Amino acid sequence: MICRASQTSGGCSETETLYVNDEAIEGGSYFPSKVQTLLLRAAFLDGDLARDSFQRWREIVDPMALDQTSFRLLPQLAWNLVRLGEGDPYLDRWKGTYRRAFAFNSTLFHAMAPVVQVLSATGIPALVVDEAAVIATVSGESGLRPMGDFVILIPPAEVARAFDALTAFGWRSTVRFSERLVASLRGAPFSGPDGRRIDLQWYLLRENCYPRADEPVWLVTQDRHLGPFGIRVPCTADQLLHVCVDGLQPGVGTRLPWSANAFALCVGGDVDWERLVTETARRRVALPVRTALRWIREHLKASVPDVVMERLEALPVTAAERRELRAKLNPWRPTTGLRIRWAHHMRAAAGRGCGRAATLAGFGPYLQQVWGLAHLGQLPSAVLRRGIERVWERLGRMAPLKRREAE
Amino acid sequence: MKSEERFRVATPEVIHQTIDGEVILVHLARGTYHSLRGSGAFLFDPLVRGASRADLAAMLSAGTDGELSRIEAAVARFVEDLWRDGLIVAAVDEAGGDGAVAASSTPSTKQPFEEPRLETFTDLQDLLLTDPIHDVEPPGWPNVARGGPTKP
Repeated sequence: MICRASQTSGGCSETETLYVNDEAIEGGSYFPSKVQTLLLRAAFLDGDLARDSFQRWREIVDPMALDQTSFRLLPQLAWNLVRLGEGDPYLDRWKGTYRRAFAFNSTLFHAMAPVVQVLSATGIPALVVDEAAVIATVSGESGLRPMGDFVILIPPAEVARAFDALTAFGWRSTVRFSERLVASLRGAPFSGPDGRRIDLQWYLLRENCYPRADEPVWLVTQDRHLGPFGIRVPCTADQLLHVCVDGLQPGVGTRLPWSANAFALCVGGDVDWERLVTETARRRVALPVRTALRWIREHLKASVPDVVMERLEALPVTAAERRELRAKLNPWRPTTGLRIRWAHHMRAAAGRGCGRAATLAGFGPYLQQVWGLAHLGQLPSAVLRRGIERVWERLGRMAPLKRREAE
Repeated sequence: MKSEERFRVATPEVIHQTIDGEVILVHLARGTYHSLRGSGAFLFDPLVRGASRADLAAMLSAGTDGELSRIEAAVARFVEDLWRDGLIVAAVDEAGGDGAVAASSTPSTKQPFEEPRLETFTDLQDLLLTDPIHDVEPPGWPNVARGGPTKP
């Protein structure tokens, strides 16, 4: 692994270049920086490795000027420092982030429980996925993981009824239900009367949006608790796969890093490794899953069995999958969004058994749905506008870096 | 409120967690946040496992250097505060605590007596909007700094 300067994180500049099947792929937005890795080790590991990592991290960072990703790890850091008996002038503040996360998550779960109950009462199977599921699976200690979005997974056949049930309950979505919507998107956001938000998803992964893609998920679920509320979550292997693949998306910097959730699931979640390998192969996501697991093995000493890694490494990877990964790891190129959309569309078309011509012809209507366009004629201008916006965002990100270099 | 009365946490409206010996509670229906100070964290677990006020006072008396009368008054105030804020309710039809709860929780050496106290923050939604690193006093969130950003 080679490091070179380019990305700002926690007051330090660095990014990592990852080699996937001998191809160098920049991983700045996906992989924790070296400084964030020290923090992850201090927050999750035991003994001298955790203590040494913490000391090195403290020598480098200003605790009053942390990046968002590091900030979200502070409750876990506070908990681990207390466990290790380590002191720090900032420890009380970090314990405060634990208290706040506990209070915030508790009120969030309290507000979300009726939503899950409404779906259940309507006879719609509902699984809680993503961060809330990890909390419920790993320890139930909600103070350790500041929550972002609350995500509920339903079967694609139930989307129309779920829209009706949530609308009747006072929740509103920014998108209108249609069969083409279900075929094109993974899910839709809903806002509640009090301004809270849920993501209603009908497919677990953006990479597998086609009928029956998630059938195995519904066959093996777990009953868990979020505080006093009973919920159902996917099995731990499916959650780990979800965390590894879903973490590999542009613009996830405001969430708890995927590496923290993946490590926690590996350590405390009783993973069915056979299922993980089988599902990884069936969903054709070997590249992100083995990349993620390799990283947490190497940097966080996660106990992923050798035989599992060998089987994941042996899974076939197509050129299209490599191109897809490369696009996701380079989020600031003007064509990145389009390339990722194309990759997801190709996967969905393949899952539906579409031929090459149908796949090509379907890309325009797919983009129309995804971007919420009224008609296909708006597509060229939408593509152009998004390209320009991407360049503009890139320039906006570069400006502060250049100023800093000049100083 | 009788001294032999027993209590439980007012679930599901109230949830609680312990970090580094501090018990924190959130009343979800009222939108309040609470922290147990002094010997409050020490008393909370036996209290919600069924120990009566008399049991709690005996535990504190055995484990600290406080006078029994002063301890009894402090425990009564503490339990009254928890009950008034809706954090505990009477455990009417449930099995009560037993001597094992008290005995296992009693420290082996006498500590200086600290009154059990309930700290209450009433506007949780406002508190949740504050920055827990920059906008707090050195003890950390939810102790919000009124005079701008602070450092340890």
